Amino acid sequence: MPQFPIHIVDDEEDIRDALSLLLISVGYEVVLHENGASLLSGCKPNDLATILLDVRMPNMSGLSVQDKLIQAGHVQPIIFMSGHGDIAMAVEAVKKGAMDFLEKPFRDVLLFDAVEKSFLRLEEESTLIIEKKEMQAVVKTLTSRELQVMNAVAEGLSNKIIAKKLKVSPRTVEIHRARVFEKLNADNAQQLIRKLATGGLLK
Amino acid sequence: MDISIINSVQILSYAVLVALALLLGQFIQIDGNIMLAWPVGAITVWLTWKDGWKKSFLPIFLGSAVSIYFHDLEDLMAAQRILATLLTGIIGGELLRAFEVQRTLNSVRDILLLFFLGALLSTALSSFSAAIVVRLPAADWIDTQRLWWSCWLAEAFAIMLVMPVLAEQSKRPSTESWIMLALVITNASIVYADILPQGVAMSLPLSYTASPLLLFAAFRLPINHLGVLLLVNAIIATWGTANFMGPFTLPTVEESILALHGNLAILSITALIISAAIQERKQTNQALSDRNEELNFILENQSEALIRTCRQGNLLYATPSSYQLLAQETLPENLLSWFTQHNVPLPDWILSSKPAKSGEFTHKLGEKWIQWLIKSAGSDSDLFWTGHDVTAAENAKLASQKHLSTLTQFGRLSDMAQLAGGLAHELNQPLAAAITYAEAAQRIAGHSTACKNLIPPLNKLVKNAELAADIVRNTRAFLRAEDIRKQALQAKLFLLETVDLLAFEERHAGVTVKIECDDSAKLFAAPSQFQQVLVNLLRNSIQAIEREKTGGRITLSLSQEEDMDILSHKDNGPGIKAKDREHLFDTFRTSHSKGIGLGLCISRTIIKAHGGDLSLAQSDSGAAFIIKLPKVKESAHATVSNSYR
Repeated sequence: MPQFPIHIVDDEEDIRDALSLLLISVGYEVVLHENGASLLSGCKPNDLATILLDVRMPNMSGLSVQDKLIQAGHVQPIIFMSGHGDIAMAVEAVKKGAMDFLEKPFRDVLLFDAVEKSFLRLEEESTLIIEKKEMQAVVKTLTSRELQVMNAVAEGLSNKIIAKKLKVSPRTVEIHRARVFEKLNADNAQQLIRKLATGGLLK
Repeated sequence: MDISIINSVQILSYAVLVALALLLGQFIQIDGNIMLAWPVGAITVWLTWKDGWKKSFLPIFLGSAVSIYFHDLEDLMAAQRILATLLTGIIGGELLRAFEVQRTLNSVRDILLLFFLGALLSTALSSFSAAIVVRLPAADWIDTQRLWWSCWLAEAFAIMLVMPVLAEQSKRPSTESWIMLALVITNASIVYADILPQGVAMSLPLSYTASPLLLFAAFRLPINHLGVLLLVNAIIATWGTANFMGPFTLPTVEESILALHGNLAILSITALIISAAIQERKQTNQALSDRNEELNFILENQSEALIRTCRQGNLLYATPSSYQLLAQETLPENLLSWFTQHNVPLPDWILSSKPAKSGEFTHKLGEKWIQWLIKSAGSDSDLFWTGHDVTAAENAKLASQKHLSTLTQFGRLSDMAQLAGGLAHELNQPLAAAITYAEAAQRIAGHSTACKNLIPPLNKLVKNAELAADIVRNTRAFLRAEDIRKQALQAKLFLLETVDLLAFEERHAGVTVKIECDDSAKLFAAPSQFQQVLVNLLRNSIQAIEREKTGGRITLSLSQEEDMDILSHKDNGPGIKAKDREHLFDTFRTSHSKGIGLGLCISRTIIKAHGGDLSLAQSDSGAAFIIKLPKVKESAHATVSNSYR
């Protein structure tokens, strides 16, 4: 299984230290942050990493950090930790997309379970990101006419209508369409649409 | 109809009585018109006295009229006879009625009034009329006066003799009465019948021999018995004197009879007054003894114990309630030493010889509380003990003291709760760090063979740190201000799930848990909090059984009461020791090493916040708890705020 860095955000130095020792001891890679600001500057929205986030911190609480991450388009799974197990808080955090909620003190196995779960998601995410990058690269190789045809196909228009719209012959549309399918490695319109969606290219 | 017949019969019988008395008077009349006695006066006075003149008039009139028929009397004499009879009876009887003289003749007043009004006054008029009518034609004033005197005395005396016999007293004659009667007859016979040689019989002092007899009778016998004696004595004396025998024999019959009557009258009135005085005294005594009895009754039937002892404590008197109060069949001879034997602390002043007026003390005897009030006039005089059962009051006092101390404890508890809350908060972070460090150390040590022997102590470090964390968590669960959000739960499913939570521990301790519950039964509770309570009870039982034996069994059974669901929890473990029962639900009480004794206290708090109660139940073996919860309401969700908020 591929490894991803774990960002530990806790204002308590001993907790950070102990967690990093524990995680490193079983072979994980950790990045330590004293507060939310440090995390926001040290972790990019598309970084493949897990965030281990304390709820109660001075200045910016774990829940505010989560809000900021979501606003900035971060995709990292978040595991919350709280020394003051509060069901309402946990529910809110999970609703906003948190992966897990651990009540301090917790057994190491629980932490490892949560981390492994986040890694599974990251892995999925990473394949998607690769596919997306590939798609974006491929799409860049298309001519402007091919792009027009591709978008029209994605809209679900027939060849005839596309020809009328682009003021070309249906035959020309057919040729461009075949070339788009070939470049994007799609057998039919459905596959094409799915691939475009993966690449975030669907308008 | 019946009443009028009865009335007629009564009138007739009274008329016959009057007629007979008149005839008797006639019979004992001697020497022309001199009467030895005149019994009819007594009869007529008595009739009027009893029934009033309106009722007595007719029988008297009839009786006297009938009697005239048997006598050959001149018209004037006959009219006088009827008039005199009526005058005597009606005047005498009505006077006695007016002065409310009682026919029991129990008092001196009554005897005196009978004598002056009923006898002397009433007969004076009639005798006067008789004397005038009989002797006026002869115009002999001296003779008329003498006749008046003799008639008057004869009649008045007859009333005084007969009336006591008619006194309304219902004493049956005793042997003493009969002996007295025999003695009086004998004496009268001796004195008035000339049995003794003439010189002796004639001596006047012999007439006094009746006095001691009759005075004795006055002291001893009821007044009507005395009356009989007086009457008999008078009859014999009159008969003897009329026949010129006995000490009162004078030249003429009239003189003899007058003298005799004077003597007899004095004797009679003396005896009667003495008798009445005795009666009065008896009545007073009776009243006193009635009062005494009444007081005794009150004394013996009241709830307070009353005891009298001497200064040294020797028992002199005690009411029956004293036995009850002290729960004794017989009271001890010495109360002070009995108290000492029963470990009752006595106040110093009782034991000291110094004079003391009064004091009180309260002590416990068995289950009872007794309060004594002790009074004494001085150092040597008796002690009067008044004892009350003050158990109820004393218990109430104790209960309120306990309540107060509970309140104080609550106050302390709430201070402590704040402290504990703060501690729990502050302890949590370092504990979390410690546990994580220790776990990291375990992992690191696991990597190198050189550090292998670090692992067991590190395991223990983790376990202990986790125990500390558990304590913190429990404390916070107790203090956390969470609303109890009740919901209807499928009881059986819920109980099964809860028991399942402890499946490992149950298996480990060899305990089987049996659930007795209808499939459809519901419980109305906040799931997580209620589960916490059940887990606590189950865990307590499991741990108790684990320490004691194997083959443990726990039974959870759900039943219904009027508006409560009753969940009973029983185990076959060692049970709860009597000394622990009282404080079982107090904080920080525990009989086992695991835990800090908050469990049952938290559990009860949770159940109380549900509007129910958690209590210890009676059980022959093992521990038994009863949880009462209000039944499911159709309006599904209700919020009960936690009282520890």
